[in-house]
Amino acid sequence: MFKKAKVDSEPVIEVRNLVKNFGGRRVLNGVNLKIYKGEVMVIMGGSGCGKSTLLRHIIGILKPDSGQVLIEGKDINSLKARELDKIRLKIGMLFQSGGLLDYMTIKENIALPLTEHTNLDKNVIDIIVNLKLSMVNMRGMGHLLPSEISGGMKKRAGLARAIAHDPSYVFYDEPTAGLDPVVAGVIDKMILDFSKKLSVTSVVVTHEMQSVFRIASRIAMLHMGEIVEVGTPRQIKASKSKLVQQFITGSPDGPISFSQLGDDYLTELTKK
Amino acid sequence: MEIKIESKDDISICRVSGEITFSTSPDLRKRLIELTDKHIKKIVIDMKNLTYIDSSGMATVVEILQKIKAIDGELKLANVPDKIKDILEMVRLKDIFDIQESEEAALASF
Repeated sequence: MFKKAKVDSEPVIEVRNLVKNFGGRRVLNGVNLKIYKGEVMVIMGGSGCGKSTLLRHIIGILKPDSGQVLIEGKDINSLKARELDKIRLKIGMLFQSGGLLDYMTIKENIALPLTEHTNLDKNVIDIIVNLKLSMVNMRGMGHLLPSEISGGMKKRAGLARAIAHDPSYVFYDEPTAGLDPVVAGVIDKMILDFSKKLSVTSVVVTHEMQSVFRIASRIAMLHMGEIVEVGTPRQIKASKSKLVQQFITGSPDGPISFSQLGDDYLTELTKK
Repeated sequence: MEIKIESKDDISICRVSGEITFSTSPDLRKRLIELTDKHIKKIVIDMKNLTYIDSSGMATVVEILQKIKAIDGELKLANVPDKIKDILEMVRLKDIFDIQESEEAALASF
């Protein structure tokens, strides 16, 4: 049922030595990552490790303090606006919350990338929207507003919008977070279907371990702003890294520490 | 994308080659709508040399199917590449089209 995507030999996305600081705190600390055509690359890591920040750099929403993001060999941060637009047209993004506009129906939300970026006839756009709704098992629900559907449906509608313009690259920010296991399984299967049948390259940010091993062609483990390991699901499962093992088993004991230093705490409490 | 249209008796055969994309599908739509506007009721779209079809291409073919059904006509697809059959299946369109193995089979099926 969950057949993995085939991987090409050339990297289509490359992150080189990416550094980003927020208010003096280093969030990404020299990230290097290659993503190949047709693969499902899962970036996993704990909350606040920099996963979503990395994703936002790859799609060009955030600019790095140093380092590069190359898509199809082009550094997206040195492209002119028109060239960047061309690259962005090849990108679809599923936001954590679905990212739907509340005042538009589901159909209008899905049609948005097509009405904004193509000269297609309205009839053709309507049919495309219905095709995409069918792909996410939401036929007949296009007239509803986002407030009238469940969280799982919002994710699926967001997915339909992410693929409305047939992007080459789809980025997913926590696609199955907060969903029940069956709906999560359905979303995972859709991600795999799009990769395999539509030749889409996927980058998925998640910490849902069941999803990680179900969909990944390769997995990159991000910890404290650094990629600590990259490998196939089998390689990651067999990893000798205590950090990786702690993360995939969800053990509270290990190098990923949640304890706070007592001295800092006392200083904070007694600070005037 | 290249489009060649040939008439055989009361049947129009549309041979499409290359890639149908967001930028080329409006041309295909225009050529096919010219046929339905002329009330041609039997159309074959031969996809033998089609290398890629995107959503706009598929939507265009669906629209032509709607238009031809509205005039009690028939649309047949011939030589549909396996990759495109997969996509038609994924968007649940495979069953709404009459898909024939070859152009000859499509012509004989009217």
